[in-house]
Amino acid sequence: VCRRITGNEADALDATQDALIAIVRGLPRFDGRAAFGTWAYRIATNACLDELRRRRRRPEPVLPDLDRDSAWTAATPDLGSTVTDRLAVDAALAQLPVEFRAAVVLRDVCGLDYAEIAAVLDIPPGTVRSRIARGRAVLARQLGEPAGADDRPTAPT
Amino acid sequence: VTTSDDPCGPVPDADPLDELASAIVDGEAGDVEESDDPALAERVARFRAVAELVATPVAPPSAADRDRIIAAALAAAAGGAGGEVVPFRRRRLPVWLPAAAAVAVLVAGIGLLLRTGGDSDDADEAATADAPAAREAETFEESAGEGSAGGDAGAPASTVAETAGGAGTGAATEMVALADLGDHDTVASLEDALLSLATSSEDSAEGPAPAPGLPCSEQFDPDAELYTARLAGQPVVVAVSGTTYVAVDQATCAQVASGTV
Repeated sequence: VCRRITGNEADALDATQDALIAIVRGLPRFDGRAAFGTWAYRIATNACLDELRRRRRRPEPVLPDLDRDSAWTAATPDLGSTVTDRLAVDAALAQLPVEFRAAVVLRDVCGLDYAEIAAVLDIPPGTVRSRIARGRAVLARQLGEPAGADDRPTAPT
Repeated sequence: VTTSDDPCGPVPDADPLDELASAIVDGEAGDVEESDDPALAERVARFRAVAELVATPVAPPSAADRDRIIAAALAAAAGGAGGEVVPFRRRRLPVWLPAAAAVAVLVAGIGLLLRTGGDSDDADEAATADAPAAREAETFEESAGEGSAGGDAGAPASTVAETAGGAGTGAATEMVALADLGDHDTVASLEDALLSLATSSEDSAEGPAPAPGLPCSEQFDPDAELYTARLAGQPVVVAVSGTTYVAVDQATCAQVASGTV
């Protein structure tokens, strides 16, 4: 989770360390109202977001407004063959604002359902649904384009 | 997780087709049949492929890193204070290094331009009573010749570039002033300062990388961070590269201390 959210190993290790320490220290206060996994994911996600905020030296990417027509015609049909290694996934995830990235990662890496993700991120389930959809749309475009194409968003939406 | 400071602002509306396709991929769309709509089916297929790619496992951390994290957590559980919580990020090349190198190169360029301009001013306006540019050039050449801006023990930072900036280049001057480590009577004291610098927050002062025009630059590792300090009252430039450092006399560039922090 931390590796995918932070996008690099060093930040992920720091966030994981912080999360594990927070989990250990917080265990006496864990009241069981949420599932342990949800609670732990929440701590881990918060640790990742904190780590990224501490380390933020670059402007946070802004989710682009997709030009629907060009977005889907630009994407190649054979998505899987375009992506040859996981670095491409990291690069594509890096295009997402971290709140969108977290929702996508919690869904696709952790397999949490929308209600669980809503609990982890403390946002409404409808927002989770929207963030995942928009995040995936951007990822599909990024991963579907030929290697080297760079359309990092520059304008806020 | 709080969303009050969400840098994205309000979450933009998703394309309804995207949202439906995404929900179908996640099994959260109820009884909607994707096969009824070719466009929807195509988008579901793409999103499914994206989800599979994101779910691709990443390389696990090394056993040493894993053990270190677990040890830190166990130490925290046992009482906390003695836990070996060591930032992993220190292994990375500092992200500011390229920017610092660019600034150093920029300053060197400004210095050369000023020197050229100063020489020209000297030739063309030798009789001019009020010639600030010429004075700046003189100041630059004086400090460049000595390898120091004066060696004032009380000065917070002293560099050739700082003097070369002169009037009208205040921003550049401010950018390249080397961070100062202060006065130290002994090498051990200087090493303590370096150690505290290494363990302090990332926002602490950072020195620019060596570049032509900075004191004794040619002696240092190109990736080193530079600082000024006074060692037993003697102005020195300290170059830190990884865990090693070298301190040289600002005037003579002679090495006066080195070691590991």
